[in-house]
Amino acid sequence: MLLKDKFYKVQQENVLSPLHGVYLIALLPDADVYRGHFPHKAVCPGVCNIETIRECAEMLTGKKLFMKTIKQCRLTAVATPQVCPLLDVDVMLTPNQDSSAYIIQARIADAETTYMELKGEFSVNN
Amino acid sequence: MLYQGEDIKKLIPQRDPIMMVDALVSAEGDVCKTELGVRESNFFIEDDQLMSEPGLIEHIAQSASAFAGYRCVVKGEPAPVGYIGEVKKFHCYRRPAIGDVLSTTITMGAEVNGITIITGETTVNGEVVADTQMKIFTADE
Amino acid sequence: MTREEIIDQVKEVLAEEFEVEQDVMTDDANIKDTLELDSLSLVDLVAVIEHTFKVKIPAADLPTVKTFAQLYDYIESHL
Repeated sequence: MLLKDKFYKVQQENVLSPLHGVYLIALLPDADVYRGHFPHKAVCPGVCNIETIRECAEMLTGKKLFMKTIKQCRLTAVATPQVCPLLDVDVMLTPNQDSSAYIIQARIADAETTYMELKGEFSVNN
Repeated sequence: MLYQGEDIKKLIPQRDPIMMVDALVSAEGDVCKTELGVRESNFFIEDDQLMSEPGLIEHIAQSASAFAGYRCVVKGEPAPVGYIGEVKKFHCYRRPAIGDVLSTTITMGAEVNGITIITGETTVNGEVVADTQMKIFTADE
Repeated sequence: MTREEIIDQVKEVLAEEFEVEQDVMTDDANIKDTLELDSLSLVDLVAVIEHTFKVKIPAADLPTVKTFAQLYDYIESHL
């Protein structure tokens, strides 16, 4: 995985059902990406949070998943390792008819703030 | 080429390891074209040597950012910092491989209260590999 | 384009973009409430109208476009 243990560490895995999991992650303030995003102020790249959602979905399913479609992904607040050192990544999946893809609904939030909401379709095949 | 190499840093605030635009190729009216060569060292290259889909999103976002930066720089204003507010209708048709050159067309759309809609389409050798809509917040840092 | 054609097209494109039924878009209904628009999706509304009718609604004019009837008026007078 691109970001696991490099950009975040999983602190706790709450598998509520085979298709619904909540991952408590800690953002790693020394992650390499912050050298460039941005040199004077560490801000989580929104796309890293999208990638984190995918990796949590992969941990839940135990399968490599491909991001064929993002119907809508809203970045509702700016996340930084200082502002939100701990985050819940809530991933809910619904298989499509032939089980070749999952409809995904995911949210990244802490107790106070929602940082990202995503709806899309992740495919099992590349 | 309007901007390339070190000069692209005048247009976007991102730096290594997450600089995802090599060049602003052209800019006219509401449309610009950018390029990115996919190198092995690219931040988004996965174990299978292909680019992760969020890398395409970041490339399209930084292409829009370079365009916004260019529009300011030619007017003698500082390049703005933009944040992605929303990604909508993103499709990835093929993940780029090392050695591919991404050619991206950005079209700026409606702007309301500092939020601009852009559309981006990325091709490799004429084949569309990804397209998306995006909304960018422009903030004064 | 007649007003009826404008109304039909507006309802068609907005129903698709915002996933609502066409019949909720009555003339006097408030657009923001009906389509549940926030600052981000408001830009979608402006973009869809611009794309469909080539009519730009500048931010300064938005306060005058509250209901669907006002939107039809705006498009009709700017075509």
